[in-house]
Parts: sequence; C-alpha cells; structure tokens
Amino acid sequence: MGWVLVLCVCSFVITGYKAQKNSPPLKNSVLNLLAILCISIIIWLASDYGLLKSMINLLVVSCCLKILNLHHTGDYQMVASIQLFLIGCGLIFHQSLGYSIFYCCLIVMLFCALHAIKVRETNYKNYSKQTLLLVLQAVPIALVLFFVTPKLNPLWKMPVAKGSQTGLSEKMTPGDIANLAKSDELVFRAEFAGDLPKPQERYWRAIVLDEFDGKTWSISERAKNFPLPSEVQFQGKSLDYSVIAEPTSTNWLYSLDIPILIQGLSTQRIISTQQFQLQSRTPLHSKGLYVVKSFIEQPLNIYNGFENTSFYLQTPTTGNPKTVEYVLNNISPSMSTRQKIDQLNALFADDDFKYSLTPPLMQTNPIDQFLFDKKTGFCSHYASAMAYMLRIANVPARIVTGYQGGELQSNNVISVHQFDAHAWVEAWDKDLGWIRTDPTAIVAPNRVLAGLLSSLENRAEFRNESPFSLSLLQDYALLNNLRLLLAEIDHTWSQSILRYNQESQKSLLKKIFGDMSPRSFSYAIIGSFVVIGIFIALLFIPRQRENKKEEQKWLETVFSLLEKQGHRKENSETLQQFSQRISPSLNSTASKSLRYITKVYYQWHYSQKTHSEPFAAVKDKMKKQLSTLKAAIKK
Amino acid sequence: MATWKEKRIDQWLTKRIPPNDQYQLNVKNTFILPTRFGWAMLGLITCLFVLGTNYQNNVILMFCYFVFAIQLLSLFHCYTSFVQYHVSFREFENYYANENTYLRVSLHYNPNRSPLHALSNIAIYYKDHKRYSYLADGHNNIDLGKFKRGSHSIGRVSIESIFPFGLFKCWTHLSVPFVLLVYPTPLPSPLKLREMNQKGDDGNKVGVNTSSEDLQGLRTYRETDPIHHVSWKHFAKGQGLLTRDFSERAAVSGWLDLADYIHSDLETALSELTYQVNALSQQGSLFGLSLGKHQILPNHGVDHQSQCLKALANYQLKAVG
Repeated sequence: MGWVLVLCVCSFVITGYKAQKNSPPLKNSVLNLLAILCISIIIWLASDYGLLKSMINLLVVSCCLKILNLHHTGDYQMVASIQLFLIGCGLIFHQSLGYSIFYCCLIVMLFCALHAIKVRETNYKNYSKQTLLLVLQAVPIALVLFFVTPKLNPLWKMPVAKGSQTGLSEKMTPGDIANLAKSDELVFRAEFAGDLPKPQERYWRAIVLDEFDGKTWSISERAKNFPLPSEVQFQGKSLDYSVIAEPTSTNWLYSLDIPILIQGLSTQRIISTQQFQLQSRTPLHSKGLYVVKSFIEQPLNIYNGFENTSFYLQTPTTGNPKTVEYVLNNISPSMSTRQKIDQLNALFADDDFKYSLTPPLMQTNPIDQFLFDKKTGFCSHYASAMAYMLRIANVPARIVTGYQGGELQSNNVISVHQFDAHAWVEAWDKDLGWIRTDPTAIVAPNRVLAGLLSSLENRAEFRNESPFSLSLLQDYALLNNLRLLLAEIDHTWSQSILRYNQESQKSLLKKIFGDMSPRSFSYAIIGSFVVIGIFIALLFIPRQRENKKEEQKWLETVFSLLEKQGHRKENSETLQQFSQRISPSLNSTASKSLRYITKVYYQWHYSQKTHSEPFAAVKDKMKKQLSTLKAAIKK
Repeated sequence: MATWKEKRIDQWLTKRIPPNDQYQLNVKNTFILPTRFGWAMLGLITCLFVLGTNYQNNVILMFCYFVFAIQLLSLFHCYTSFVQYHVSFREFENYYANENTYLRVSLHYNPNRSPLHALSNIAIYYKDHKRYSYLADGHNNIDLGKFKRGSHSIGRVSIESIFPFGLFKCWTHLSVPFVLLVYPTPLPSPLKLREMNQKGDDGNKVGVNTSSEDLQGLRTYRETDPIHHVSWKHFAKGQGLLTRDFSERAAVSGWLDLADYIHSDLETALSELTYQVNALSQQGSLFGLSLGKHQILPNHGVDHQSQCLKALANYQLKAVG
C-alpha cells in the first residue's frame, strides 16, 4: 500500500533526525495511538489487498513505528528479526537475480547492525568487515544444507498474493492490445532443447475468444468440453522447450501449437484444454516454469468429428451493415473454406490498409468504419474484422490472442515481451480442422517475420509511447549486447532457481550416491553433517595452531641451519645454553652473530610481557645477523 | 522453596567452579544457551522453512538455511571467543560506607585468538546490585555501589558475552574469593579520650584542644603523617621526608571508648569513632580502642589503625571470611 511506503520514509527521516539531534524519545502513548490508527486502516483495506499483503503491511507498519522508539538491545533485535522475516516475504514476490542480490545486501546490512550491538566500540569499517567474514563462513554450510535437506511438498495451502492482472485480458476490444504494445515488460522466455521455430511460426497461443457482441470479443460461457477421441496420433516435427513465465495473476500460459505438457517438471499444476491452450490451475502469482513438447506440423484436426463447431458462427444480429453486405456479395455458399478465406484476405491486400500502434477511435459499427473508412488498425482490428466476416460467410471462426515472435537471445532462448502481443484468427475446415489465418501478416508482413520494432514507423510510435524502454537500444550494438547479456544471466538464474525441486534433488543425490534407497539417503544426510562438522572444525581448530608463536618457528629455522653443521640442540637446552655450548666450535663471525641473535631474542622475550614490540620488528633486526651466520657457517 | 533451590544451585556451582582468585574460562566453567533473540531466530527459521516449503520457493529455503548456518556458527564463535579470556580478581581495597566500592578484575586474552574475535565484548554482572558493565583488557575497577559497614562476601559475579549477533549467550558464575571490608562512615565529632591506665573511670575524661599549632620541631616522616605536615623545604634540599612536629600531637594519648560516644544510636557512635581513629592515627598518637568486651591495646601506626577500623566495621556483626 502506498501510504505504508510514505510511513516508512517518514519514520526513517525522523529516526535520522533524532540520531543527529539526540532529541528525547517519543511518547509511547502517541505511538500506540498511531499504531491503532494504522492497524485499523489495514484491516479496513484488508479485503482489497488479500490476507498475505495485509499481513506484510502490518509487519512493515509495526517495524516503522518500532524504529521510532528504540531503547534496549531487545528492541533492535526485535526490529532486526521482523526485517529478516520481511525479507523472506519479499522473496515470495520477487526471485529475480536483481532482487536476490538486493535482498542479500539487506541481509548483510542487518547482520552488521546486529553485530554492532554490544561489541567493542570501533569504527563501522572494522565490524562490517568482520560481519562479512562471519556471513561468508555461513554460505558453504547453507549450500550443503540446501542440497541435502529433503525437499518437502507444501505442508498446507498458504494465502496467495492478489496481484493486479497484467498481460492479455479475457476480453478483446480492438485497440486493447495496442496498449500492451506500448510495454516492453518481459512476458516469458522459452528455452529450446533443439531446433527453434521459424519466425513466421512463432505463434504463442494463450487465450481463445469465441463470442462477439459487435465490439468486443470474449470467452463464451458455453461448456467447451466434448468427448475426446480414444487415441490421438501426433505426426511430424516436434519442438521441446521449457517456458519461464513471469507472474500475471491469470491462469493463461503460452505455447506453440499443439502443446503436450511434460508432466512433473513444472512448478505449477497445469491442464491442457481442448482449445489447445495450457492453463494453470491457480493464477500465476510468481514465476512459473513448465516444459512442453509442441507438434508444430500437426494440423489442428485431431478433434474432428468430436467438436460441435456450430456455435463458432455466432454473430450479433444488428450492426456493421456494410460488412455484411460486402461479404454476402463476394462470397458464394459453394466456395470451399480455403477459397472463402483467400477471398476475404484479398480485401486486406489493398494498399490502403495500414498497420499502426495508434489507430483512430472507431465507436459505432467499428468493423464497417475500419474496413471501409479508416483502414488503419492494429492486429486486433484485423483479426476482429476477419473473424466477423468469416462467421458471416458461414465459416466457424474464432480469435486467438497470445504473442507472436519474440527476441532471439543467445542461441536457444526466445524472450517474448508485452509488445509482442498479437491476435489472429482460426477458421474451421472440416478436413484440416482449425486453420490459422493472420490478416496482419498480409498488411504488415514484417510484423510477423521480424517483430513489432522491425518497422521504423512502428518504432517511432513505440518511442513516443514509452521513451525510456531499453528495447530501443537495439540501434546501439554494444548497449544491445549488454542488455542481452543481462537478460541471459537473469534467465539462467530463474531457470536454476525454479528448476530445482524434489526430482532434481533426487537425481543430484543419485549422481553422488548411486541409488536412492532410504539407506543411501540417510548416508547423504549423515555425510553432509560430517562435511559441516569438518568445515566448522577447520574454521575453529587449526587457526590456534597456526598462530602458535611466530618466534618459535623463526628460531627453528636457526636451529635447523646449525643442525646441518652437526650442532644438534638438545630438547632440554635453552637457547642461551645451546649457543654457549656450540660457540667455541664455530668460527668467530658465526659465534658473534649467534650471540647477537641470542641477546636480541632474550631482550625481546623478556620485554614481551609489556607487548612493547611485535616480533616482526625484532625479526627484521635479526635478519641481517642470520644471513651473516649462514654465510659464516657455509665457509 | 526458592532459597532451597538457590542453595542447591550454589552447592552445585561451588563443586563445579571452586572459588579461586583467577579463572581461565574453559569448558568446565562456561555455560552457553541461546538468548531470547536466539530463540526468536530459531522461530524465524521455522517460519522461513514453512514459507519456503509452502510456496515451493528455493530462494526462501536457501535464505532459511543461511540463517540457520549463521546460528550454528554463532554458537561456536560465541564459545571460542569467550574461552579466550582469563579473569583474575584482586583483593579489595578498604572502603568507607559512604564510598562506592570497586571490584578489581583483570582480564587477559589468549594472544593466539582469531582476529575475528577481537571485537568480542565481555560484560560483568553482579546480580545483587544490578550493575552491568563491560570489561576492558587489563585492569578494571567495577563499581559495586555502596555497602553497609561490615565484612561482605561478594559471592558470585556473572561474566557473560553475546558476542556475534547476540544469538547465544556464554556466561559463567565466578566467585570472588576476597572479603570486602567496609568501615563505618567517618563522622567528625569532638575528641573524647580517656587517659591511659584510667579507662573505665568515669571522672577522668580528658577534652583535648586540637586547635593548637605550636611547631615543636622536625622528625622523620611516618606513614600516618598528614601530607601537609611534610616539610617540603627540607625535602627539596635533599634531606629526605621530614615532618613538622606540632606540640600537641605527641602529647595526645589515651583510650577511645565506645561508651563515651553513644548518644543517640550505635551507628553514629561507630562513625564518630572511625573519624577519631583516623584523626589520631594521622597525628601519630598512641591510642587504644575499647568496644565493650573487645579491646585493642594502645599502639600507633598503619596496622593499628586498620585493626581498629576492622573492629569498628565488624562490631556486633558476624564477621565473614
């Protein structure tokens, strides 16, 4: 909710001001009143925002108010734990790479703040560095736990976030899709396992509209289920791809014709409808992934003879008289379906028709106005007019909305944006089944072959509507490459995040441990605990040994040097005794430098209690003597 | 019942951490448990796990495991940063009842400690007096507040650390082996001294005029001499510390008797006696102290003074330790 953000900003400003001025704490009664007010507003608006969002807003509000009045350590810790939980909630909504990095930064900052409580006072640099080290130590443990801890099915159903619906709507009034075309938001990315479809084959089906009231196409209430043929044979080439769909808060998913869902690999529960659509059972509130096999060469006639197509002839009884007259004059009932389609398409071959993102308004008899008067329209105008004319010509027809085209990103990924939204027509032929016909392709062939932004004219229009879109950077090669690189990283991230589920966990463990019997699973868990234990041991034990007396190590190098010359130091001897014992047998330079080393070492050793000088400084002093000793012995 | 329980705990603690004047913190004397915040964090981890599982969200699960890993590491860091310390107590100085008393603690750390633990802050907590203060490396004087006169056994002080992130608390209860001796507050009063060998004789009270300042001569400095009586002129000449001797100082001698001072209540009387013991000692007088049955024979010097003061402090109280 917007006002919650305002409250956040206010409380931050007040806290900052208080920290600067050292002003007295606020009165609790004022804060309590404010809290009651805020809570009642949230409860008042709860029905609009849904349970989850209201709860999160409640937490945010309580956090904001608590920040104003921090007294004890406990207060800071309470705020920090609420904020950690809020980060968890934030991750429900956003899991993209950018947001994940942002949340990571927040987590590190929070732990910095927690670490700053009750440590020795130092500058913030010192403890933030230490926090970072501590936090980094936790990462490997977290990774091991993540990969080994069994992933469970949802324990119970959680409230879902009500989002505003985006993307295609279930009603199409010509002109609607033009609004979508002004947005460069990502809709989905499809990653292909093998071949890519040709540009003119990239028709991503989403919604099928079959009822027309003269202005608007919508989904009829009629039941569209019919008995299915017992066996369906698919023929021809097929494409395998996985789709990562951005949240839309609707059920519609995207696929090429004819989609066969590969079950068990998707994050959503998805059904295929008899209109060749994929539909998720629950609205897509967060990113979803699904894997599809599409038979692109298979005509849509697999349900021939089972489907009752007569209601695809429905038209409004009045309106658009010119169009009705035109169709009745040009089409004779004896023509075949294909001939009828070609005949009607010929109308659009006329040069007068223009493709535009900003068509003029057509209020009354919109199809008449469009076909015979304005002759300028977006894909929805063309599709709507075509479907209407086909129905008048006694050909069952319907409109399919979805996306057409997409940007090729790396070699096998196609990303589809809102401006790729498209509408086309399907006409029924009793042999071939549903035939796709796209009148837009006749008027603006480039739209279908190379996308909306391929035509300069459209790009200028697009720039007017959304001047800050990154997609306009296509003109600059370097920037465009950077944009594509970022998009690819984002795709890889969301793919790996969404892909990892029970199945992939099992297959990963299988790779490591062979079979997946309960016994090897328990071995995996025990093994991971051992790994974590070893890691912690590495962190805490050897450091103490390593640090053990730098000076001892240094002395040992001296002893080993002398030992090579046959002067062995007994364990019971002190350095003093040893040097006295062997100095007669050394030449004068060597014994002098050995005596010097002994003297300096003892001096340092007995002044060490006062920590006056680190050993490193003394070592430098003795270094020279050591090298003379070395040289003297060698002689 | 609570006291019985406390007694049991105390017995157990004495067995586990026997009183000593210095302690190396180690596995034997250290306790560790999550703090309230630590428990809250465990709750949070559970919530995040449920959230991540129910929404089938890998990022939340990863976050959950990360927080858990931090909690786990924090357990080890808390303990290792705590046991690097060596705590030693030093004997109390003597205080008067109107003064704040201080516990003298030395804190040393293991020089081999990991640099990560350099920031760990250790706090000392004395539960009877609700004082919570942080210890610095080296010597510390911990304010214990004011005590009534008498000998006090401090018992156990707690030392705790919540070092990384405040998720775990490491603590120990160390007993201070020394006795805190608190003298009565000195209260100025007219000197009432009984002549030597005549104590108990009510008629022979001697009132002494202490305002006389006749300089008698110089003598060598004694510890109890007031510093303003030192002849700095002679000291500057290199003749050592000499005290200007005033005529009446040597003259005063006798017994201080509690009976002479009791006007209103015992505490005031003891306070006045304390003042007189200090004043007489400063003058280097020869005096004895009679507290009913308990008598201290006339003498002078620092030892005599502290003996008298101790007797005053513990008068009619059970001496501890």
